[in-house]
Amino acid sequence: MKYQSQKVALYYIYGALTLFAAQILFGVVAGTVYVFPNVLSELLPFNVIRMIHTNALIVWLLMGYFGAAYYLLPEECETELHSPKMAIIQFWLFMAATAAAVVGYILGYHEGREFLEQPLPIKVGIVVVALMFLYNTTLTLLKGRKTAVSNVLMVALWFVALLFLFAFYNPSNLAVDKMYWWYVVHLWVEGVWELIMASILAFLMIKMTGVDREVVEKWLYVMVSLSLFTGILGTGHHYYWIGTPGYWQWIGNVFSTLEVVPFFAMVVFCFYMVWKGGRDHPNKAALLWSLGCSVMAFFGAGVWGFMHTLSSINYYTHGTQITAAHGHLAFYGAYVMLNLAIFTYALPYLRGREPYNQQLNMWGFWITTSAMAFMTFTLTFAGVVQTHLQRVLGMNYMEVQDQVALFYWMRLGAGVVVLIGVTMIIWSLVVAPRGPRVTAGARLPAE
Amino acid sequence: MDRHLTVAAESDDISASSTTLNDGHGLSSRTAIFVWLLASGTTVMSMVLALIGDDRTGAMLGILPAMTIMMVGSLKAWLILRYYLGLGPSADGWRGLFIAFLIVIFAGVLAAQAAMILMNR
Amino acid sequence: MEPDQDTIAQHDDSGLMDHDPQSASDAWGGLEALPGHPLMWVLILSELVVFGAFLLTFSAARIGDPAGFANDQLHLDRVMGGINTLVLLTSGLFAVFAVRAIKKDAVLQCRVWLAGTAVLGIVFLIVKLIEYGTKIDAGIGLETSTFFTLYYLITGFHALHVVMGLGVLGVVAIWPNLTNIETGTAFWHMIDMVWVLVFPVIYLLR
Ligand code: HEM
Ligand code: HEM
Ligand SMILES: [Fe+2]
Repeated sequence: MKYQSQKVALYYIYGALTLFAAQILFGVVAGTVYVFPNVLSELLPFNVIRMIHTNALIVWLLMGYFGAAYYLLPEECETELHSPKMAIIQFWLFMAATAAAVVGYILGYHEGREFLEQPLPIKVGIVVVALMFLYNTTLTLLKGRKTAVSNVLMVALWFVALLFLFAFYNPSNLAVDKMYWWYVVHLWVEGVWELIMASILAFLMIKMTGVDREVVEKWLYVMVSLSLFTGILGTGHHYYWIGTPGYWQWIGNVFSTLEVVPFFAMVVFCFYMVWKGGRDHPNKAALLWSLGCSVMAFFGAGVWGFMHTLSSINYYTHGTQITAAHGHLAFYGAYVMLNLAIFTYALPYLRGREPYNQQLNMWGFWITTSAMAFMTFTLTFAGVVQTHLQRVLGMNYMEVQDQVALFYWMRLGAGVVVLIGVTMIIWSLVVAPRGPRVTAGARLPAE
Repeated sequence: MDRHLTVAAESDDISASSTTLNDGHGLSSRTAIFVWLLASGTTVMSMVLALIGDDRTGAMLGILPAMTIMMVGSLKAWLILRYYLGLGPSADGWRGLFIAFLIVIFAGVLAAQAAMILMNR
Repeated sequence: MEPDQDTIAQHDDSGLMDHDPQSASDAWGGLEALPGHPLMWVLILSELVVFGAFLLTFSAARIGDPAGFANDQLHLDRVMGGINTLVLLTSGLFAVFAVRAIKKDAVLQCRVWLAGTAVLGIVFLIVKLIEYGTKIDAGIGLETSTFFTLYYLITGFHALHVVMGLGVLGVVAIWPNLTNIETGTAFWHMIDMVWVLVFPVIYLLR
């Protein structure tokens, strides 16, 4: 850590990890309801549990990006943050809005649009938080050195906020509603979040492999171009069967198939950089998360996404457990792992702890990743059976659910293992490092 | 002498990459105009042929006429690639990739045509 | 510039790391061998894949309904299509001349050729609009049939690229140096090349 103001990232990282834990807990509860349908049904209905699970996910990922930006911007721009104080206020505002939203959900205040359930005042609060963030970071960027990494990251974060504005538009026609809904959901995860992913991975590669910045930046530009080229029109894969015109099938088929390419490019990028630059960075765990992120994102988003992205296949699989399988592995591989990579990288510096317990962290990596992969497989099997029985043979929905109950048990089992793995990761990041405290200044040789 | 069209096209021409033999400004205007004449000429010719023999019935083309049409199109595409886009000897590997692209289109479209001809019988 | 990598890597064994010194030029993985900016070639390759996929999709869709496709195709104006082919081929020639001019540092000449290229691009668009106009007057729209959906999508995407190409030509005309002109004209040639493939597949084959 070279700049004092990078420390504000700690708030965000701890906040994100807290919500991460909550997200997983609620996931396990939701998985339990799947096999014991009456659990909590009076106290906390399934839809609310699910809402907290998915909203906590989105919010902690965003919080992680904020933290990552506050950590890496000073280093990239070679200047202190514009206002660390404002960053801290922004954090507490964000936390308050999140808490208010959760309480609201439990009491039944929500808008019922998946991922965007937040009641209007909360949405406004989110926009205020985003504006504070963008103001703070943009001024930092403007006064300092401008690098490709920081430019791409900031452009992406601006678009994250701009696209969120579509969340305010909620037409009563359900098809139109869904059309705009995907502007947020799809254009986030398959558009600008990909840029965030590429730029943070680029930052990590520069720091950890020693490959020249110039080389990394070129890769970054290529990955960014490919993401936008394919991702924007790839939105078409959500417009197959929701009442939008038929030409979307052609557009969606072609462009969303190509969405695999940028994810593949990110795998090649990470491994090539590590191969070229060497692996002698002491933070092996962070390197593991970075490489793992690119690989699991490729499988979750690329392979599992492609699996149901052709309209002729999606005709049968739309909205089945196959979608849930893909949603889990894609979100985990791309964005959960990305955040854990930058957290694992940054925390030892932020806390001046070195060496810290990497072993536990890496065990957490393998356990969590394997369990998420297993969960994905079980959901995929459930989805294939469901598609066949329900969509091909025409059995009714609830009958089919009974047929796949075994898979839901296995999903719950995998979920419990995920919970264990995540506990290990969080423990290793927050509590475990018991090594001698080294002050940040002491371990930075003169440059 | 127009080196590009006569020699450089397929052989591993070393001299074309050295600047001594061309005028130092890449593609000569002679070559460029020649390429243009060739491409436009085939276009005009096929338009004339089409207009003369055009019964506009929409009957399916046999494999040979279809192949001719696609060859003319691919030739034009290749001329543009090789001369206008400048995929000269310095870009050997890339030239291969682009030619592969043309071959895939050519083969794919004709395979579809062949399939339809077979099913039509 | 100071080294970016974390300082930790500068152990005493750093001599063991065999970083091959990277020249900036080899960093594009070979793309730098092509004229213009390497990122343009990333775009060109992506565009070719997309248009290629669309043309193959079109051919595949035609297998399902050869008669319907042939019937719909009778509504297309092949002469207009042929004229547009000539227009684009000629504009490509002008673009080549623009590059030659800038290599001789003749900026004005370069701009004149670029303007010529752009004018022909506009002619192309006008012809295209006339074509669309007659279709629409005849009541043929985007959702009339699979043939016309694909016809509008593919030629529409292509026309959109012509519009973008005009923008690109304009931008490089404002800042004319060799890299910029080569980059801009490379995009234009790509558009040209896509059209000479779209034309036979959609207008001529039946
Ligand atoms: C990291 C990137 C990605 C994430 C986080 C992600 C996440 C998701 C999620 C959560 C859903 C479910 C949305 C809902 O209906 O509630 C979904 C749907 C879908 N995704 Fe992705 N996705 C990603 C990338 C991709 C890619 C690259 C493809 C295609 C190659 C793809 C194809 C699809 C398709 C076709 C659906 C619709 C499924 C249906 O009809 O039910 N996704 N995605
Ligand atoms: C980091 C790990 C996780 C991520 C990124 C994640 C992400 C998601 C997402 C994106 C959805 C919405 C899916 C859709 O719209 O199709 C979802 C729903 C769900 N998740 Fe998770 N989740 C994670 C962990 C878990 C765990 C450990 C469990 C425990 C079993 C779980 C159980 C569920 C359940 C039951 C649903 C509701 C599915 C439905 O409505 O049918 N998740 N999760
Ligand atoms: Fe999507």
